[in-house]
Amino acid sequence: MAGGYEQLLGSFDQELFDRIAPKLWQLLNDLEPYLWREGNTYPETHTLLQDLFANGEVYFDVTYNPSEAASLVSQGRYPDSARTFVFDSGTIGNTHYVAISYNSSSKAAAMVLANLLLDPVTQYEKSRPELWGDLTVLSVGSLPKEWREKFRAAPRPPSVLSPDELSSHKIPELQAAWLEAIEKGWTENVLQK
Amino acid sequence: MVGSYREGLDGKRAAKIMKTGLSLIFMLAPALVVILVLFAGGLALGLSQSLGYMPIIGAYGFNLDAYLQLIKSPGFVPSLLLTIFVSVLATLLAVVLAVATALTLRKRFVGKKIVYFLYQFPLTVPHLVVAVGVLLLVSQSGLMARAAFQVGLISDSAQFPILVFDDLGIGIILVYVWKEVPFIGLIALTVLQSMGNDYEEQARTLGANSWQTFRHVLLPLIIPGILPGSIIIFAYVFSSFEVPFLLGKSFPAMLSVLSYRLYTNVDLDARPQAMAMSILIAVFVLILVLFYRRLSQRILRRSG
Repeated sequence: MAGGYEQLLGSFDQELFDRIAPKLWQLLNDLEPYLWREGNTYPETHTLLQDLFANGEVYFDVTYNPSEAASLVSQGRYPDSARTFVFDSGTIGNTHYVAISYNSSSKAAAMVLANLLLDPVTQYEKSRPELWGDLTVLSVGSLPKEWREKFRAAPRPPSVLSPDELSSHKIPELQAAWLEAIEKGWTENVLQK
Repeated sequence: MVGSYREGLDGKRAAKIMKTGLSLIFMLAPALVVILVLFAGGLALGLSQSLGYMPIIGAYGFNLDAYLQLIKSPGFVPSLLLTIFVSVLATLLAVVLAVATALTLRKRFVGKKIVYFLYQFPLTVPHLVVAVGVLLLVSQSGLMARAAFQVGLISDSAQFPILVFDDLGIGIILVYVWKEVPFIGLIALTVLQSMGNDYEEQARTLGANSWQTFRHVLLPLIIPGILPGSIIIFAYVFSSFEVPFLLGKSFPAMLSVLSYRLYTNVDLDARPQAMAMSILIAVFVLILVLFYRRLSQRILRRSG
């Protein structure tokens, strides 16, 4: 719709936003008849959306964590038939970040912690479905051979897409200033319409 | 000689009074400190932020910008109307049902103990739990919808009536009525029991029918008792957050939910507006409570 996401990358551009946003509001308003409760209301929290999906009130749930469905299936909250998918035109993905605040008094210690979090051992534990089931932030292809094999050999539940499928459809998230403008515009032009 | 004796006595008495005064202040100190520091301090902080004084984001202004932006924003008026509607209706329903149930409960009947226990039960359940319970019970995929589906009343969850996330806040009102009926009802019951049957019997002897007895004898006696309770409920419903957050529609949302959204906005520039909203809620409650007291006193004078 924007003519490729590439032009939206980088810092916020008011002129570009004003040109594209009306088309987005139009699309979202046109979608309303097909939405939960005809778009009269939206689930306030992700937990509520998960409940709606589990109860069959909605047909899909959106999440940033590609293996979330697997962990919810194993908890018995989602039916076994739950599957994950990405849009053909790409799905926004992001990864977990750690940041050190500029006025931190223990920068060195924070960096040690960040290293620990990035360690393949920690990352592998994090990705185990019975623990957290969150995908690793590491680029598996760039890891030493033994870790590469270990990550690739990790069992993958049927509801989870392969890392290759995910990464080939992943499109980057916009900078925060865009999100602010989109949220504000959505409230005014879609929610309150 | 006499004068100095007197003086000595007065001095002693003054010292004694001062001593009691000081010990009183010390005894009240734990409560006073909490009220002054946490409540008054928080209020002052909120007020100054609402006026645009927030050094952490480099705002040092003292102006009404946040209030103006808030009032002019398109969501404000519908939210205010919804909030007034929900709190007025919830309070009214709770009071009416409470008085009706109290009148029934003061009579003797079989199984009164169990009924009385069940009647008081909602008082012990937190609002949050009741809200989740209502969601599980009456949402379109809730227990009642499932039951209706099983017996063939509906063939799809979307056919079940919309009782939560709805335009009129029915789910929210339901929670508050369930919670607050015994709150008012127990007060009304105490009043009714403490005055005995004398007034009522006298009215009946003088030829009043049961409606007249209720309207001109019982009600004027109950109202002063339940008035403060209903004011508490009204102020509580008007400003409380968790129930409308769980059961309310995205738009219009109740004022407290708007305040929360502004407060948790990633943009810190919205913080003064969040504070302005909270201050406005407090001011609205104050105004409406004063108005409500006036109105009810007038009703009281007329019926008294």
